[in-house]
Amino acid sequence: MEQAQTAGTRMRAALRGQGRYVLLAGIIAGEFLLFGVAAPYFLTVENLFNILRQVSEIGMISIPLTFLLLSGHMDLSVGSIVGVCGVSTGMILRAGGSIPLALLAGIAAGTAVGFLNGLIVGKLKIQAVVVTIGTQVLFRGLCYILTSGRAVSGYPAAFFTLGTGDVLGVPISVIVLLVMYAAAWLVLEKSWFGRYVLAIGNNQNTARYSGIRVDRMKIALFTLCGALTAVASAFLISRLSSAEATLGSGYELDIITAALIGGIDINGGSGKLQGTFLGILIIGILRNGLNMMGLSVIYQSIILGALLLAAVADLGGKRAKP
Amino acid sequence: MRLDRRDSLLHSALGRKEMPIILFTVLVYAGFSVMAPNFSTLNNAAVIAQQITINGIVALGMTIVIMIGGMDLSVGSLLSLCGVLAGMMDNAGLPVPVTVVLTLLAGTALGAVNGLLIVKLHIPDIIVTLATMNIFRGIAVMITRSQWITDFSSGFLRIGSGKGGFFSVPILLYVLLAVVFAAGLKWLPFGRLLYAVGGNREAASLMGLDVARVKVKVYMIDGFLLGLAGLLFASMFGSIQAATAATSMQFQTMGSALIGGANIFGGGGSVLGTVFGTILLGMIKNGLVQIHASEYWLDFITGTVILLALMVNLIQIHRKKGGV
Repeated sequence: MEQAQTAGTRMRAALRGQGRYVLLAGIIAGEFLLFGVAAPYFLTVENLFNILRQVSEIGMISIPLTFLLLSGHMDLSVGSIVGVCGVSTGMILRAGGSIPLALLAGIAAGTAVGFLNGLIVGKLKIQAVVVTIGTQVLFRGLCYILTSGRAVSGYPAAFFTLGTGDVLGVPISVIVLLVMYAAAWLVLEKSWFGRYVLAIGNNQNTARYSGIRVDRMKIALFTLCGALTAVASAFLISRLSSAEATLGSGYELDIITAALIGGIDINGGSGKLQGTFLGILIIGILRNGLNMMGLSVIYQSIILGALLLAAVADLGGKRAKP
Repeated sequence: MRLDRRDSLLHSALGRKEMPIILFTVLVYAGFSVMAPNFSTLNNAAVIAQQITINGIVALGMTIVIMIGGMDLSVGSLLSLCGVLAGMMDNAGLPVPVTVVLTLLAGTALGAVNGLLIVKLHIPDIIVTLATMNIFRGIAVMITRSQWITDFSSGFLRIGSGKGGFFSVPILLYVLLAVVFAAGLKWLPFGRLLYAVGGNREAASLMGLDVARVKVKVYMIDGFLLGLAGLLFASMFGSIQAATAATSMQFQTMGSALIGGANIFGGGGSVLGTVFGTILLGMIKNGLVQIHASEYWLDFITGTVILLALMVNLIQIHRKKGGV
């Protein structure tokens, strides 16, 4: 009797935990239904692959951003980092540099700017949100200075394989995304790194007193964010075949919304990577479907903004007062 | 008794706090004057003053928002929405005073939306205003159907181009508002309250202050200023496009407030500092054009200035802690 009760409680708790994912999967199914009816080309194989390609880029960035959110931090500069890396890679390619060199340069640029974010947040102990608002402007300015406001294009043909090629029918970017997610899941769920991230998100001071080098972890997380954002940026400019100074602007809205829809706690400490993944799919399908219906980007942002609010709304007032 | 002593300490600290920014502004002024012969003319000073009024008014609102530990990323979008509303009301033939009153009300109401979302749904300021930044901008584009709003009545245009003596109406309004804000923060009970709320929210709450109510009011004042700024924007430029108006204003005004000594941890901040922060950023923008530097440097410099301001902020906090 007692045992049955605990089993029941446990199951109910597990269901409650899974409830969000069932809901998210339901939303995705609803999107397919809605857009399948409303937009004739939505349910074509070509478009579904398109969605996957589009999703894979923000998906790659969503991984480190989820880690950052879990640790109680936020990076509002990811969109600008996409720009800096894309422009750097593009300029080297245009100048005739080899593809590996260009990719390396992009990743180096992303790592460097991510490290800068981490250094300021970790060592100077300034709120991540404010720091990354500052670096968002700074990095975007860098894009404008580098490009003088003109689009960077003219890449070698081989470079386009990255964003448009596939292996046995599966887009390369999707494979990379899935591998990244699998690795990140292992790191988050099974390694000390993941435990540290959650510990910092739960209570920084406790984490510090238990011997975690919190500032180093912060630097590592922001640097990782820069590096993975750079990878996403390479796929993006390969798919778009050009890099503009505005590349990636507004990405932070999509990714943060996806993570919060996916159940990542805005204050850090709890949430699952699979939630973010479903969130990214929801946002990606939404954007694609609305595009198909001819709804312009600026109207989409109304919907995304509302989604963001809905995802974090806390009507019961469980959370501490703002 | 003890409270008094802390108060006077705070005030003397604030007095010192503004000196670096004032000196720095003078230095930058001198630098540009050497580099560009036309920079230091009286005429150019008038141009700069005219250019900074809108940012300056918005920065005043940003200052009190930051002061209570908040952040408003939606300023540019809210301004744009109010600006196009004002323009459309004028196009519809409404008398200018009615347009002005309704626009200010709209701004205040939209500010209240920000504030209520924050306190009622318990969402951090930054997330709410990130969302409303997109929502307000989208609504502004939607109601204008992406068209420029222009062909304003002469009465409406006079708001931005009118003169009161030597100075234009917008400049006079800005100066008036800055004085009101400075005096209000210093002497009005509500102004003193803002320092209390920002300085220590829990203590303020324990003292029986309704922190949520104060917050909503601050965002309403912020919205009122944005309504006014939107009105001035449409009137001064004679046209406004919802999608492009004031798109990077959150960065510039945040920059002005932070350079001016507003403390992102809440509590600090001064109107005089913010005014000089606005002047500094406005001078840099104008000076870059005068020395024929690329406008593309502007974002980079704004970002650098924000980060530097954050670091200077930090040093001052540390020094203050060390001193006590």
